[in-house]
Amino acid sequence: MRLRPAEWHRLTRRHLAWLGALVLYLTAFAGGWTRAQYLPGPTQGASLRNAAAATDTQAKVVIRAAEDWGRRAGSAGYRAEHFQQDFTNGQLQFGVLRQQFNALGGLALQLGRPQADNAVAELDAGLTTIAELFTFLQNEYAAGTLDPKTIVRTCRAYSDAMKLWQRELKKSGSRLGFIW
Amino acid sequence: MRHAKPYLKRSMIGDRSRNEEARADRRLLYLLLASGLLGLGWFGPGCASSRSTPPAPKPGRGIAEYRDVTREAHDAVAATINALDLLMRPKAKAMLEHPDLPDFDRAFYQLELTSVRARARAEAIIARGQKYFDEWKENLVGIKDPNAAQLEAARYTRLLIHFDRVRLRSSEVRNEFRPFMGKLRQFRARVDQPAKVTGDTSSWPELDALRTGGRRVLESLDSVSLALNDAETELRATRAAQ
Repeated sequence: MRLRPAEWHRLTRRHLAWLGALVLYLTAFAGGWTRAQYLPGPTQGASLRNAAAATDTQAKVVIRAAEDWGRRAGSAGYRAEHFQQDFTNGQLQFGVLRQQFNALGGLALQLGRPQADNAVAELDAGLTTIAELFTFLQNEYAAGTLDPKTIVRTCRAYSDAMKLWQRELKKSGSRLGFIW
Repeated sequence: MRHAKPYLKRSMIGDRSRNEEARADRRLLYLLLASGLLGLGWFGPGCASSRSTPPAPKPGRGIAEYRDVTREAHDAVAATINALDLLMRPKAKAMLEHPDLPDFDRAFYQLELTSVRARARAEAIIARGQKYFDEWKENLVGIKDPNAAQLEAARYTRLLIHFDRVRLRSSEVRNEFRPFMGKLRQFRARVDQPAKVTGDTSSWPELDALRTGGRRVLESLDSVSLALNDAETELRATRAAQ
């Protein structure tokens, strides 16, 4: 079963494309429509730790959402409208993670330490690489060639890549200037 | 690197003689080079590191780490090409039923994960590396002894050439890798539709194009390894000349 959008879905497809572009723009360039949530601490180290904890929590949300998405896509009766909903939700969650990480990265860069700068650059590049999976799904959907099996496989790669990223975030604590 | 300037403040050198100052400058610039350019910024402990605390930078250690990342990426791409080779043996009517498809899926999945780490490291190099050299260049201006300044400028230039070469070749890897991954994803998505990719020889052109793309990635990774070897040789020569 392919998730080829029906004619009456055309408007929704266009909306999805616009929403995707908007999310990418907001997360990559405009600083997002949501503010990163973390408690500023009494010291810079405490603020960093809080920002990192908020990023870690959001990474877990993203991982759980990806796993749930994969499970849903593998079930019978998964249709184009379900994909649209999951895709939009996935992008939003990923966008929030990006915001949380940008806040953490901003604090870490204020330290002026090369190790912190490098950790931020690597984690940032990791998120950029993972985001390619959204582009892939979006293109396949737009071409009308997206299959639920492909979604399941992509969700697995997405959630596992995110787990890898989350582990690296945990390991990077001392480089970013705080102790978990 | 931001900690470089305090190191190079002349007030820290105090009332040493001119020669001592020059030697101190050389040592500090060498430390800059070893710990900053090749140790922290370029090849420092990163995503692959399992340490909980940052170790003291050692000259050349970063090159070895970066070489490990290159090797890991190379192995993952090579395994994917091997799996594509197996898919070229016509064994099933539809590619989806090909007995070697699970091996391909494993290799491809591993490549997805390896690419996140390896590409993050490579892009971090591009993002950060030039800044280190820019700051090193600024610090060169502060060396008062003309002989020492000339020597350090020569070292700077030699190592910048190596850095630029690694950076350029890393970006070539990225340029080759991204379309390779994109086409692999598209291919695997098409395999999910049995009518589109058959298990006989008609799928050979597509598989062959994928293998060619993979080999180009391998070649670009090999070229990074060669550039790393050259950089290491230069670093050793610099160390020997100290």
